Amino acid sequence: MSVAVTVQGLTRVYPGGGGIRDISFTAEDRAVTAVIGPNGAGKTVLFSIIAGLTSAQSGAVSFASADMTMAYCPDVPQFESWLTAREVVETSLAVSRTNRPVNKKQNDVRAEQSVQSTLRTCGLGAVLDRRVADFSRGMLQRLGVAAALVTDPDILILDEPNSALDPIGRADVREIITEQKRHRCIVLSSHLLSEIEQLADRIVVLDHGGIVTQGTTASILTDGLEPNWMVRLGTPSRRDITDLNTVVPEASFTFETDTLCSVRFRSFERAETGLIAALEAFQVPIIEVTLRDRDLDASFARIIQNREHS
Amino acid sequence: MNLILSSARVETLRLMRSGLLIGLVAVFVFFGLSGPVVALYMPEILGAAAGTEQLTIQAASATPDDGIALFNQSAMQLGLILAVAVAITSLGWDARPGSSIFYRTRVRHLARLTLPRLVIGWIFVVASYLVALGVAAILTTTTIGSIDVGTLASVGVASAFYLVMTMSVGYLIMAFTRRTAVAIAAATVLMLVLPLLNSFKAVSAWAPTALLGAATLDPAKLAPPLLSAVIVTAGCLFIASIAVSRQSLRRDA
Repeated sequence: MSVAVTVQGLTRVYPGGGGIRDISFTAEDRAVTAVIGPNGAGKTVLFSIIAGLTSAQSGAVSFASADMTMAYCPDVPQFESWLTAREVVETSLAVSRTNRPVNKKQNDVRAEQSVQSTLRTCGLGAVLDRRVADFSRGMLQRLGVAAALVTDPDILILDEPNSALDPIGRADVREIITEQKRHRCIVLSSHLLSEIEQLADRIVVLDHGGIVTQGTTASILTDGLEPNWMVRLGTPSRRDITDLNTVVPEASFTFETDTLCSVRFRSFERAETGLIAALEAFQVPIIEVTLRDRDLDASFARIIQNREHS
Repeated sequence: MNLILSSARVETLRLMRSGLLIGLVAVFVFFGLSGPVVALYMPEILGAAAGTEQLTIQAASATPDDGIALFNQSAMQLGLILAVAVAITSLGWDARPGSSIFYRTRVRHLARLTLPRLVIGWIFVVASYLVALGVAAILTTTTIGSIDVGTLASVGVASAFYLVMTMSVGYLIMAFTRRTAVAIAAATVLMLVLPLLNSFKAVSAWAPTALLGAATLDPAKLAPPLLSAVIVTAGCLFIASIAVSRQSLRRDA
């Protein structure tokens, strides 16, 4: 995959505190790069600089080509309240066309179709002609995404695109992002790490204005992971802990309930051969075997805690 | 639709849907109706105001010029403040971070976004004023006497230019402050203080505030203040355009 955005040594520090220091990463085309971090880590400052809204004190942002277009959807989209959803998206398309000469010939009929289809894609088809003043926060977020997408940008920056959405809305936005990443570079942030885990190809972890770690989603998920499995049994085990530890000495068994057991090994290498033996030792049906703390929430907490302790 | 037309359209919708346009027309027309009436009944009003046998106030009978002058005096106070507020709030999108991001990430040359909005404001404000002037002229002609068309034209042109100039000043203040309440307060104080320029003989002939007295001024003497108003307007637009384009997103918005 080709690199669409390169951030090199970006620094912007504010007198009252906050900002970012020496941030470097790349975002690939036709992929999702997620920037995650605690509140105040510098995510919005970073996005503002990439979008050209704020200047950096040092460092640079470069793009694969000079004529790449960008759309930025902030965490709290705001529009002029007397406009309808259709008018907001029409305005977004009209004012952005001046940045993309190839679309100058796009006629009004095609533009109208583009506006309507984008609003429907973002779940706002039923409120095309409703004024923004009557929109909920979730609807405003969807409208922000629609206003960004209608311009067909090469780079799409989404700051907390689903923070105010209900589970159905989040699923819709997830579907939109999954589809859109086939066509453009997407850089996003979210506190909903379960969403990031499903969407992101690469993750950049920020804390206190600096990069803590970055890598593929798989590498971030397994960073600092321990060989500790959660096993859910169909019925209580026929063997107690003492028997299990005797049968499988390389594993450490801990029952949380009579059907939920934690199986820990000293290393993943020992687990390669020992896990099957441990599962067989229960001598009851196994419903679920899950590597504990494998989700992004746990990985993120581990990463931040390790940073604080170091 | 291109950027300029789109911007003009959004501003037109704002003025119509927010009630600002109705407010403008209502305020100006109110003074258009009340000005000539107050001029007509000024002797009775002042007589009633005296209220004692010790004091007697006499006022001359109203002339058509008085009807127009009283209309203009009131319209160019409250109506002026409302007009300046229209210009200031046309930049209100930049006072809110979300809408500021919406436009600043899409538009390269912000003047092509902001100036059409101001021009639409000019058009609606001047049109509202001229409608009210027409109402005042009709009422004056009906109740007091025929008004000189030349005087009417002088008042209309002079006041239109003054409105455009003061709206541009308000626009400039908002471009720098990016805070609606602060800009309206500052512009209001400025509009109240500016007429003091007429007290200084050295500048009174050229001061744009001379346009406020167009009803009683020789039309030939309107040229210098008209020119001053044009220069002030152009200067405000130029400086404001530079200011808006050089600003970044307000972090504390």
